[in-house]
Amino acid sequence: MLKTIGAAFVLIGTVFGGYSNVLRLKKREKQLRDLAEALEKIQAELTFHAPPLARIFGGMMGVYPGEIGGFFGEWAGTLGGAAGGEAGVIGGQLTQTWFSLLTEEEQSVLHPLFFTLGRYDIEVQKNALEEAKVHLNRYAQKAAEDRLRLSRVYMVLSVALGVMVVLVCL
Amino acid sequence: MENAYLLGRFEAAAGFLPEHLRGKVNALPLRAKLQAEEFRLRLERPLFVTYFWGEETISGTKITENDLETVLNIVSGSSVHTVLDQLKRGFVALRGGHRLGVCGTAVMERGEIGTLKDFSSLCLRIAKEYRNVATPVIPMVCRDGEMLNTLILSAPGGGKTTLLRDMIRRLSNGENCVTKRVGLVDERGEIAGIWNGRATLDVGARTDVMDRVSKGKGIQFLLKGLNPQLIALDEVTEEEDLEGMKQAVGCGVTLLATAHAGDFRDFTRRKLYKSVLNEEIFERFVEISNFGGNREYHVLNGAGERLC
Repeated sequence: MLKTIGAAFVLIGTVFGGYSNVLRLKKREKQLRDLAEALEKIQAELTFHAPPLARIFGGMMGVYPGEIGGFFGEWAGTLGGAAGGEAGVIGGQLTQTWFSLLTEEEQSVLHPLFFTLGRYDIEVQKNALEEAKVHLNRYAQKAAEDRLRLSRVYMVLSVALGVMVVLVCL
Repeated sequence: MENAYLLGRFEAAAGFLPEHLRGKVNALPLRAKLQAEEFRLRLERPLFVTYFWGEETISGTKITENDLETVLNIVSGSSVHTVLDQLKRGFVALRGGHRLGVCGTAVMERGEIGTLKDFSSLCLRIAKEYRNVATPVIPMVCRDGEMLNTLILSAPGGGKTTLLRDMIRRLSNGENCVTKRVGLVDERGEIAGIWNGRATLDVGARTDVMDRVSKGKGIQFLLKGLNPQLIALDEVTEEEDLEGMKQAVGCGVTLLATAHAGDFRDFTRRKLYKSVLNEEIFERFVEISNFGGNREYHVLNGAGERLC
């Protein structure tokens, strides 16, 4: 009886590990899609209202309660007194904090944007947003493919690993 | 004027400077803080503070490109696009009525300044509201309590805007004169200290402010829509302004304006103003003279004869 319970725990543990990886893939894809969507919203705000960035970013907190909102909210708080290109540097640092699921390459497509937002006229900012958005959408597409491909692999491997451990131990 | 008020204005304006420069100006002696009129930031030069007697450097400072960009970031909330229109015109109106003048390389578009780049100088002007400076002037520019067309004359930085603002406030509130519905054309948003559409300096209860528009166009706008009894404007410098003023007088509206001129004689020598003098538009002129920081006001009639 004890052995059966132990085996069940081992199996649940390995399946949970596999499922966590699947969730991570899902979350990464969602983060990329949401980020691209957020950039589109910023682009629209700049086109139609052109308010200060802090106000746009503040609005993002309401629309995206998770990491995206947190990122823009924290960045908005640093904007007022930022020296020269400091806002861009801060944006880059916050990316690492809030978007740890994204690879370095994925994070790096945002950096030129951080050094453009708020420092040039609307057209230049919109172009930078468009470029970052194109890259993010491409990464999101790749992330979706990775999720489809790897989700099954992770699940099969986690179940197989659990069964193997159970068999070895029993 | 209360020292606490002047100190507050100084500190508020210093708040637009980068942190290290703010620290330096905040360390100035109290007397200097109370009398400071401007902060001048010129690339690769020390920070200057302007007083009525001239400019003084703040030792140990050297303005960098980063400093200039930081000031712009502070005034725009790191959103330069929100002030680009103002930058094209050479100044940015700031919270509290302060004003940032800019200078740099102009990018021309179709014969006009499209934008500015490579900023080389910034001038942060500390807005101060001197109440009651118009007290001795108002009775002299009124006849039977009714305001006469009046032009205030002084050299740049002589206190024209300060006197104009206080006169507008008094006329609008009906202090020592017949109450007037005032239309104010505030091209630079400096008289009323317009910031985000709100007047941050007191220009009276019955004053309608039209800002960020050329004076000539502003006058026409006010005449068409707001039926003012008095139109006030600062620094008449162009033919278009004069045409607008003549139109206003033709509509029976009283004028209160300012112009750059050392005194009345200097004013009469200016070619631009010949038509104004010939048509005898103004019945009163106010000359402002500055003696060691103390301003004196002299009122003249239309012929240039001193009344007081």
